[in-house]
Amino acid sequence: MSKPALVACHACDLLHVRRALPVGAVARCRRCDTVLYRQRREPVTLPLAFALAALFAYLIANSYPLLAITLQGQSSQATLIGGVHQLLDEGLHPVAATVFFTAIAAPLIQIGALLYVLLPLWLGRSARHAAAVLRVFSIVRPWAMAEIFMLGLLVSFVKLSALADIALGIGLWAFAALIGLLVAAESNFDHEAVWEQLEAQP
Amino acid sequence: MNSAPTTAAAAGLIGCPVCGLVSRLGNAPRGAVLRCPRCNTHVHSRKPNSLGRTWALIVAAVLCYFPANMLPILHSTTLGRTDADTILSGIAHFIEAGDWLLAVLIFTASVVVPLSKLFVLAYLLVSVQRGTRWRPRDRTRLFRFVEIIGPWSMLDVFVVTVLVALVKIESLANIEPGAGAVFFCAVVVLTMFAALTFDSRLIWDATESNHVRRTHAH
Repeated sequence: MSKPALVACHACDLLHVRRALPVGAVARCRRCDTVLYRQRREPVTLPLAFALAALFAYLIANSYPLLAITLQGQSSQATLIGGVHQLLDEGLHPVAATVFFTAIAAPLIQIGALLYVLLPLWLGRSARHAAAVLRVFSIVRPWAMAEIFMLGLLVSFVKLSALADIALGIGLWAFAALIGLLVAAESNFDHEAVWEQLEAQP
Repeated sequence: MNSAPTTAAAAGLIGCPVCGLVSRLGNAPRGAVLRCPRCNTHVHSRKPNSLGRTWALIVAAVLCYFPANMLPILHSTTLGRTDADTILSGIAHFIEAGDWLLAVLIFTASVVVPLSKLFVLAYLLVSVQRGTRWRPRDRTRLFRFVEIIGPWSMLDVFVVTVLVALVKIESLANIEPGAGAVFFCAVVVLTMFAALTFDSRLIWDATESNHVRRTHAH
């Protein structure tokens, strides 16, 4: 496209002409102050590295117990999927589905979408159906609530610590790492830069 | 480019919400499905029927808010004694136990966040429908704020999930979820959808001149 690249503010629709920014700088809307775009350091390599690390943290967080309690010699432990299973057993299907989607499925979809699009790009190719995958990534983004689930774990921990012996599991530490890595992957990801690279590929 | 501020809609352009590409509307008939030429996402100059849909979701969320607070979200059995807790009685227990931090945290996530989100969205809808020109920048900020805090009201649902999964010690202690959790979960999901269907560009359309406004009627 030979025309100057335009940017429309998604919050107020004001048009701006895109200008080159120094690394780390942010362009804001003249009228409503919403962030228009940023200049990231490495829009492919960095989010790819963080997404790969997040995948490992995700697998550990979902395989090991998050919390374990002991009460008068008897113990019980909770995994993420175990919590969803329990809600299903108790007949709360809508709640089970919401928790499954926001705490289990959405983070995995985000990680998977980033890996699917960025890995081929890093190797100098472009993934098939990258457009559809990036669209799914955008739709899922507001529904990914790993950090809120983490706060829920901490609240449960404090609440139960008065009643029973409670221990933090390996899964909980991995879950904390997952949140940090996901945030890092997302904040280094740049839709616009990735699209430019996708268009430049044969 | 002229220096006067122009919106994409006034210039006959649409910005793609996914890839950011600004493309020309063309002479597509009214109601036609428009797609971004680069990433094939459905694009709309303004979200379709934003005001009506957002109102409907707000009303549905308000209706669910009552049973969410009146029905118990947890049934806990300790040594044969069963207690039912609603969101508010759960907060009261934290206060009794002196856990002020948890009380404030749960109160904020379960009461302050969903209610302020409903009030703010309703206020923004009314302000758009009345064509208010008052402080559009602050109203846009207000919308962004409720959009960011919204998901945190899921906190109590997650706490219930963890407690239900963890406290399963046959005869000693058992926690089961209550019907209130279903309604509370519905409140959170409905208000999330309400924020997604609201189009903050409508706040700004009212501030523009009548001439421009007529061109984005659809």
